[in-house]
Order: sequence, then C-alpha cells, then structure tokens
Amino acid sequence: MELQERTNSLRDYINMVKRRKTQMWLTFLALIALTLLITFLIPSTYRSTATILLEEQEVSDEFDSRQSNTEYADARVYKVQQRALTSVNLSAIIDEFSLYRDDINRLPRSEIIEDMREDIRQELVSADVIDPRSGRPTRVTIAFDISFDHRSPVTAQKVANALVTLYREENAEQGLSTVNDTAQFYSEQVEKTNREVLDLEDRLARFKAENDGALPEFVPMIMQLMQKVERDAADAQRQLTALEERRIFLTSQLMQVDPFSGGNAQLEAITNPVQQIELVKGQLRTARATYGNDHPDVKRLQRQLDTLVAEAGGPLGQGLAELDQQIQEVEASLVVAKRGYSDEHPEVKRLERQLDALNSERAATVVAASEIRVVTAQRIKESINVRAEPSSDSSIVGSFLKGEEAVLVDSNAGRWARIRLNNGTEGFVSKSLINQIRNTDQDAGSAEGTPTSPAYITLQANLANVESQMRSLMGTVDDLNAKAQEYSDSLGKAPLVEREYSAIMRDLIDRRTLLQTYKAELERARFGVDVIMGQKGQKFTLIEPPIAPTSPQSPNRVAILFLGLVLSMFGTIAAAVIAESLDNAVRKAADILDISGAAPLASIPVIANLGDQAKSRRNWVIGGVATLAGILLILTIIHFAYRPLDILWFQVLRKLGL
Amino acid sequence: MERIKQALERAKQEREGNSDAEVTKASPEPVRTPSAPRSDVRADKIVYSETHVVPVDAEVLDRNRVLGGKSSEMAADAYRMLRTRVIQRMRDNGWNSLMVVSPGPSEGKSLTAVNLAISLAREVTHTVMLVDLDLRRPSIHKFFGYEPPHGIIDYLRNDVPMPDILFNPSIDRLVVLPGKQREVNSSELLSSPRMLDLIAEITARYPERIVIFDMPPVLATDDAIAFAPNVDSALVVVQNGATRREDLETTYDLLSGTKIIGSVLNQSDEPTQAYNY
Repeated sequence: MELQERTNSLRDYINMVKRRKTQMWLTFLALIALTLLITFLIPSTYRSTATILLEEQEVSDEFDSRQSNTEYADARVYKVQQRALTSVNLSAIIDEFSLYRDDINRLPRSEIIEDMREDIRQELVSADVIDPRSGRPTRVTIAFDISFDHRSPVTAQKVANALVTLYREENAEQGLSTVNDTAQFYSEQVEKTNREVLDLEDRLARFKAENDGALPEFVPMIMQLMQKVERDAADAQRQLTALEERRIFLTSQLMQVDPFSGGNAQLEAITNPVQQIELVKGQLRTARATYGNDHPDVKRLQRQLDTLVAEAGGPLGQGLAELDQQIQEVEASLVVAKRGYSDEHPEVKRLERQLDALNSERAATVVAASEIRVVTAQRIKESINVRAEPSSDSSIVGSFLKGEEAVLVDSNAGRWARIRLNNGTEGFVSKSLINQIRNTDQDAGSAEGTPTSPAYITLQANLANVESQMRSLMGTVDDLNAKAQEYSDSLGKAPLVEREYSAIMRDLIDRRTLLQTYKAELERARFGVDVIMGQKGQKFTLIEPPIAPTSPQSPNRVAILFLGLVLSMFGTIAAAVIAESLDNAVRKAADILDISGAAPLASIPVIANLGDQAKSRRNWVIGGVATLAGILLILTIIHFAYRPLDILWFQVLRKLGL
Repeated sequence: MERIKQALERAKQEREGNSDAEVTKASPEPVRTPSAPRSDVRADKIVYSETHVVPVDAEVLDRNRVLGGKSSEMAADAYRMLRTRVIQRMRDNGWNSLMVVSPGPSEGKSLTAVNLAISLAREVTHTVMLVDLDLRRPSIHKFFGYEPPHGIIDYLRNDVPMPDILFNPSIDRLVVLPGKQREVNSSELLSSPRMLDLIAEITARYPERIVIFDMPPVLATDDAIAFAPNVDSALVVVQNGATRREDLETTYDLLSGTKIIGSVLNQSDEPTQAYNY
C-alpha cells in the first residue's frame, strides 16, 4: 500500500462519521458510562476551615524587644507552621482521632504523616495596604486559613480544631521562647559586663592610691598650689633679704657703740632707734635733773622720746618703754628725795634699790632678746650629731643630747645651724632636728658682761629680734621650697600616670556604657516576657472556628462530569479516526484511480429499497421506544428497589453541589 | 444426447452462417428466440417464443435493489452512465462479452451485473444475455424472485436443452442464463470443452448481443482468472468500504492479461453529478 497524501474534504469526514456511526455511539456510551462511574464512585472529601486573624500587638514596638516590626507576619505563620506540624504533633492527632485507619497498619508512620500534611492546607489571607511607616503600598498578611480534608465532615472539623489549638499554642510558645532567650542573653551580658566594670573600678581605686597627687585631675590644683608656694617662698626670701640687710646694719651699729658708755652721744649721730631712745632718755634725765619737769627742754625731750618709742614699736620696745617709764619715775622720786633727805635717808636708799632692780630687770630683758637657745626636736629620741662643717659628710665634733639646751650662734648656713653646746663646743646641726626656745632669764655666766649703754642694749635687742625673725623665715622658706620640690616631682610623674589613668578610665567608661545598653535591652526583654504572658503581643485570634462542612470539598463532580463528557467526545472521535486509519478499504473513486490508474466508469450510490427505508424508520421508532422504555424501567427499578426518585434527585443535586 | 449433439452442430452452423434463420433453426424446440432483426435494431416489441417469460414482481425487484423497482430507480442514472461508457468502450474495441468481477465476495458483482444488463437491455439497439457463472453461489435468478427449473450446470452435465434453461424476466431484450445448483468443481467445469463451446456459441450467435458473465470473486477462487481468456473484457466492481485496497491491487495484477474495461464503485457515498442534475 502506498502512502500518499490524500486530501480529505469535509464530505469525507461526514461520510466517515456516517460509516462509523455505530462504532462511535458505542465508544461514546462506554466512555460516558465510565465517566459516570468515576464521578459518583469517588468518595466525597470534606474540608473544614478555620480562619485565624494575625492581630497586631497592642503594645508599641518601641517597647517590644521581639522586633516584630521587622518580622513579616507570613514568615511568622510559616515558622509557627513548622513548629506546629511536627511529626510528633501530627502523630498525636492521628492517634487521637483514629485517622487513616485503612493505612495505619499498612504503611509506615512517616508516610501516613506525609499524607496528613497533604490533607492539611494553610492559606495566607493578604490585603493591600499603605505602610504607615514608609507610605508605600504593600501587601500585608492579615490572617490565614487552616483546613483539614477528610471523608467525614465531623472528623474534619475536629482535626481542624486540634490544628488551630496547636497553632495558637506554638505561636505563644515561640514568642515566649524568643523573648526568654533574649532576656537570658542580656541577663548574662549584664552580669558579665557588671563584673568587668567592678574590676575596672577596683583597678582604678588602686591606681589612684598608688599615684596620689599625680592624678591628672589634681594637676591644675597642684600647679596652683606650687605657684602659691613658690610665690610665698619668694616673698619669704625677699623678707629674709630685708631682714639680713637690717641685721647687717644693726650689727655694724652695735660695733660702733661702746657697750658700757654713758650714752652721751649725740642723737643725730645715732641712727639706731633703740640707741636713739636710750640717748633721748639720757638727755631727758639730765634735763629733768637740771630744769624741772615743766621746762620746755624737758617737754621737748619727753615728746621726742615718745615719738622714738612709738617709731621703734614692738613688744620689746613696749616692755622696755614701760621699764624706762618706771625707772624714770623712780629716778624722779629719788631726785626729789635726795633734795629733801640725805643720801643715807632710808627713803633714798629704798628708791636707789628700786632703781637698781628696775635697771637690772631692763638689762635682763634686753639680753633675753639678744640670745636664742635651742633644744633637740621633739622626735629625737636620744641625741643628734654636731658636725664641724655644715655638711653631713664632715666629722662629728660633739653630741647634742635630748633635754640639753644650746645657744644658737648662727642660723644663716642654709639648712644647717651653728650652735654652741653647754660645754663650749661649737658645731653644725641640721635645722630640722632642733627647736628654738625663748630665753626668759639671763644666763649670767654666758655673758661677757652686762652692757650698760642703753643704745647698745637697744641695738642688741633689735638685732636679736631681727635674727629671730630671720630664723623663723628661713625655716618657712625651707619648708616652702621642700613643698615646691614635692609638687614639682608629682607633676613630673603626671604624664605617665595620666596615660595609664586615661586608659583605665576609657575602659571603664566603655564598659559602663555597654552595661547601660545591656541593662536597657534586658529591661525590654523582660517587658516582652510580660507582654507575651499577658497576651498583649502579636497573637493568633480564631475569628472563624472550623465547622463541620455540609457539602463536600471534593470531588467537583460537575467538573469531572463535564470533563468526562468532553473527554468522551474526543475519545470517540479519536477511536473513529484510529479505526479509519487502520481500515484499508477503498472509499472513493479517487482511491480506484490511485490503484488502477483509471477512474471508475461510474459510482453507484447506495440503493435503499423500500424495505430498507421502512426498516430504517422502524429502527428509529423502535430505538426511541426502547430507550424510553429502558429509562422508565431503570427509573422504576431504582425507585422501588433502591431509593425513591425524588429523594435521589435531591441527593444527586447535592452531590453535584448545585 | 442426440439433441445436444444436434444443438452443438447447429451452434457451429450458426457461428459459421450467422444468420437469423439459423438462429431459429438452432432453437428448434419451443424456443422462440426473439425475432429481433439483425441490424435494423428496431425491436421495440419483442415476443419471446422459445424463452420462458417470467413475470417479475416490482416489489421483488425493489427488495433486491434491481432496476425496475420503485426505489432502485434512484440509481438508474448512475447505471445509465455505466451502461453508456461500457457500450462505448465495447463498440470501440469490437467487444461483445463482459465479465463482472470483484476482489472479494459480496461486493455487489451480481447486482451490478443484473442492473447493468437491465440498463443495457433498455436500449433497443442490442440484446443482452446475462450468464451466471458464479457456479459456487449462483444468485442471479434470486434477484428476479424466480426459481428456475434448471441451471447452466444442467445444460453442461445433463444435456438439458438451452431453451429450457433460459428465461426472460419480463424485460425486453434480456435473457438470463441462470445457475442453480452449487458446483464445487466450478473451475474445471468452467474450462470444460462443453462450456467453452457454449460460451463461444452464445457470444457469437448474435452480433448485437452483449453477453454479461457474473463471475465468482477473483481472490476467492481461480474461476475468474481461468475464465478470463474466454471473454473480451472485464468490469471490476468495487464496493465502498468493503473492498480493501490491496485486494483491489492484487485483482488488477491477476487480471493483467485481460482487457479491463473499467471499474465501478458501488455504494458510493460521494455525491454524483447525477444527483444534483
């Protein structure tokens, strides 16, 4: 047989259909019957669906450490799904509701659980909204459905309920565990950081104790103090210099005055105030003795003396002035007495004695002011060494015992003082080891002789006073210098100290800031726990509980029926086409032309005789009647044997979901 | 037997003489061959004197889808077309015998042969003899609802005189030589000398006679192929949906030595021009 292209006209197809009529009818009926069987034999599956609303948390995000604003709701739902639909949970549900009884002994657990996962359906419900933060339109998941498919509507509902419970529990647990984890973490961090801060603070305290005074925070103060001390030292030095000048002056004056002279020197020649006073006193005494108290000369001298005394000032001056006053009064009384009485008169004798006493007292006062005595410092236990030179390297010439007194000869040798011990030995001791004491009584033995010249005495007293001041000032200057040195040393150490100090401080500040942060986070996390516990956070609200469905979810019988119908049609056509292609019969005049090389002489149409026509008509009638009768028969049988037709009608309608 | 010999002799004479008179002589018995003139062909009314005229019921014809029946006239135009073309070709080639064959059984050979014969007979210019050579399943007579007393086998075997066998189905210018019994050894019989003599006689007896042979299926037996040399031409009948292409090809191959006048497609569902005309 040769394969060649035969163009088929519509007529050919119509003829084919006519030829294959019976075959096609049979095929179609068979397929339809199959379709009907499938449609009504597939068991119904019921779906029970619950809708769960994803409620926004009531508490502001600011307080919630779970950062739910960054976590998308659908991601959360999927997380919860993963946690909820675990094999363990599903297995428990399978056992509880005795699901998959047919398979439970036949298939492994894992496959049954897989089947169940297929029966569980989760669908997100989204809405288009404008994001209030960014202002852009977004899609937000606001709810989701959970459903379960089962042959029995009641079981489907029960399982769906169980699933809802599972989801809600897992949601709460997940939130709580997340928050608890967070809180736990921050709690540990806080503890750790706190320890670090305490360590650093300890270290800082120790460091401060070790480097007291060199701490950077005290540097300005120390600078100030040092400047003040230096200033004070300079002042004291200046004072000392002035005193030194004065001492030199007094010493030179003293040398010019004869200690035992009567004191007739001219006042103008004397510059020393004490000598002037002595001079003026002497002249006053003379004038009084000569002229009487009301004489202008006496009065002038008296005023001059007062002025001098006032100029000389000082306690010594005062004390001397007082004594001088008494002496003058006693002398005046003695003059009066000598005028009236003889020198042997008791009154005169008494006055003379009184005058002597006063004079000696005055001399003592002057001497006391001129000589300085020293003892060892309080802290010295036994004795201090007396050296030949003002240096600790020089040889020891004697020992200055505790409780012994010595005369301070010279204190102008820096830190060293020249003293004279009671046995006459002279040497140097450190100033810091001795204390001055003021002599109140005159050591007669030590004096070469009591000077009698008032000017000399006055000068001597002034000199002693100046020297005493100088000694005191020198001590002060030394103290100040030592202090300044101390401050300077501290400041020299300051940069090194500062580096370490600031390192510690920096660490400390860092740790403290961190601690602060962790504490805040911990606070937030704890707040989150409270929020979850109080169900104030994002929660799953069941807004539509699962109900037992009244109509099956699947199969969609109408769709299957329709599809089956269409498929049956195509199947029928396909079968006819296949049969036609397998059939190798001659069909057309053209076929004969192909084979024989000549067209047929004639094409004789089908001759339908009267019998055929009648038979055809009869067949139609019989076919129609038979079909009608068959349907009626079947309906009758169904009606009486199976189920009343009206009820069946509604059942069919329901099955079709109409 | 003597009569047969006589008949054969007469047949020979007829072939040689080829005259009307001889025809009458050749049928000495009650057979009254139509007194059809030879060449004037104006045989409007033919009265058969020797052949049985069998009345045929129109209903029978209709039932058998034979021309003359009520509903079969619908196909008359198609047969007319076939007749005309067959006649043209036969005249062109000087043929007067035609065998109707088909690759397989039940493909409408006999009906085609009958209807073609009738259609041909309706033309007054010639007479038609329809010979049923499907010896295994003779069926021509059934189309006319007539059970003949004798068949061609009787002539060949039992010397039944030809006029007793022939019959006219009430159609002018048509004589039928029916088969009757089933013959198993049809092939041998067909190639027997007596048969050959008979064929020679009937084809040659009247020049204006067209002889149509209904043959068994080509692929079922060798009858047709064996007989083919004895006829001028062959008409291949193809039935729509029944004849397989490869069978048809084989048939053409087997008949390659025969002058195939053409083919006819039976039960065609293709619309013909005639329908719409």
